[in-house]
Parts: sequence; structure tokens; C-alpha cells
Amino acid sequence: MDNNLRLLIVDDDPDDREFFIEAIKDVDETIECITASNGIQALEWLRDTGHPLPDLIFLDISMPLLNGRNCLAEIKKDQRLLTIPVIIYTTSKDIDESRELKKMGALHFMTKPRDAEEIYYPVAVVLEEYLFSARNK
Amino acid sequence: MIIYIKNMVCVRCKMAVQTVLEGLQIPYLGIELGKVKLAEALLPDKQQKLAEGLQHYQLELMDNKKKILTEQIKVVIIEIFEVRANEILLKFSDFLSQRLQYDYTYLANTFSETEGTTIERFYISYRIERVKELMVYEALSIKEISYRLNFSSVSHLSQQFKKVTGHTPAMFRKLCASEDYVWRTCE
Repeated sequence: MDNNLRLLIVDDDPDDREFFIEAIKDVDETIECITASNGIQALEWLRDTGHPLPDLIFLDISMPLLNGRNCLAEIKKDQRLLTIPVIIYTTSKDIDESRELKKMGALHFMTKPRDAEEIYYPVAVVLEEYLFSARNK
Repeated sequence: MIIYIKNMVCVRCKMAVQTVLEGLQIPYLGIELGKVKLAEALLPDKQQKLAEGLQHYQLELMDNKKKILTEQIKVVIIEIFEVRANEILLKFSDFLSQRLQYDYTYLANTFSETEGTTIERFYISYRIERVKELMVYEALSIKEISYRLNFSSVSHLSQQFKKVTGHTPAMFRKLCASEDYVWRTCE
């Protein structure tokens, strides 16, 4: 069994998924990235018991079929999934929305920078904190 | 009365502010990074002179609420690495929220609006500046710096250092040995 961190990235935009993976690999190239293009696909993968669960989920808000908010609600209803930290990312800067999503159980609400290159910085802060706290547990 | 000053990042900045205040005979009760508690309200002409005096040291007297909040955010981030380095803190975003009593999203929006860059970029850039200082001035090993600045591992420190500066820490040490290489932003 490997100890590498495993992340699930849920985003309908293939370019954004690529930028996310690039940013994550810049933090640590051993991190395993799994992707899903909407909430339904993400839940199907999460509910499949044939593979280990991810350590963290990066979840986009605006997606077709099942959006990030409803996907988060489903994750938090599922006993097997509810402890997985979920980081919401969005282009929205709505403070009420961020409060509500944190109340729903999101670990962090991250505003997607306009410049894709900039995604590295919020991703690095969130991942470093997660890894640091995991190391010090 | 409290006044807020932009670009104060170190002890030398505090000394510069002290020099300006004393030169203008403005009585004060205390100087902290980013703010000064004055003993009395400032008259408009003194305020103008103070602003000019600070400008001489590339410091800026602030009167805009969002700019003031942005400067407070920077001061809290500096505190994390200068004063509280080695302490296990709350999540960075929660720590900022608690200290400044605003939602992190509001702080992040305000910071981006006034600085044209993100809080996270400032946080990471500042931490890498501290890495450089500890390497050059205190000659600490990367392992010690990684521990002191709460990096999750030495390899993450090295990777982030290269991402931000374009050099590995070892290359940076070699560059610093060359006399012409200038890296400090606050001298």
C-alpha cells in the first residue's frame, strides 16, 4: 500500500482540470490526481468501494448534471464519505455563499484566480496546511 | 488616535517611523508594524508633513479603509512567520479571520482588489523571503528552516522555493556568494 496523497478534482472544464493537476504536481509530484467532470460522476466514483477513498476533494461549484453544492450535500450525507475534507472552488466572490458552503461542511472556499497560472498559490497553501497537519497528528 | 502606515515590514521600518514622528514632534504612544498610536489627533498640516516624511522612506500614510485592512492582513501574515513561527496555528484562513474579525472570502476579495494579487500569493512569497533571510543571515540548514517555518517537508520547501524564485535553495546560496546578486526588497 502506498502512502501518497490521493486527490479527487471535480470540474466540468477540462482546461481547469489540467491547470489544477499542474498546480498540484508543482506542490508534490507524487500526489495522485483523479478527475471527474461533474457531481454525478464524482459520487459514482466515491461510492464505488473497489478503490481507496481520496484524502481531499477539490470541488467546482458550477457544473452540469449535479453542481458542486448538491454534490457536497450528498457527500456530507454519506457516512463513508462525510469525513473527507472538501475544498470548494469557484469564480464567485460571494461572501454569503462562502459562509453557507462552510456551514454545509466545506473545509475551505477558494476563489479561482482569473489567471490560470495563479491557481498554484491557493492550491499550495491548502495542500501544505493539510500535509502539515497530517504530519503533526 | 491610530494611524495606519503601508509597507511597514520590519524593525527598520519602525525606526524610520519613529524618526519621522520625532522629527515632526508628533507625540505617540506606540509604534507597531502597520500602525501608530498617537497621543493626540493630527492637524491637517501635520498630517501632510507626516505623509511626506514617511514617503521619504517609501512608507505611505493610509486613509482608505480597504487599504488599511489589506495592510492589516499583511501584518498578520508577517506575524505568523516572524513571531509565531514554530507554533502550530489554526488553518491560515481561519487564523486571519479570527484576528481581523472578517470572513476569509471578504479578506481575500479586499486584498485582491487593493493589491492586484492574491492573499495566497503574498503569503507564499513572504514565506519564501523568510526562507532566504534564514539561509543568508542565520545560515540555517534547509531542514531547520523547513521546521521553523512550518513546511510539511524539506522537499516541499525546495519545490516551492524553485517555483517562486526560479532557483533551488542550493543555487540561491551560490548566487548569494556572488557580490552583485541583490535579492532583498526591504533594505
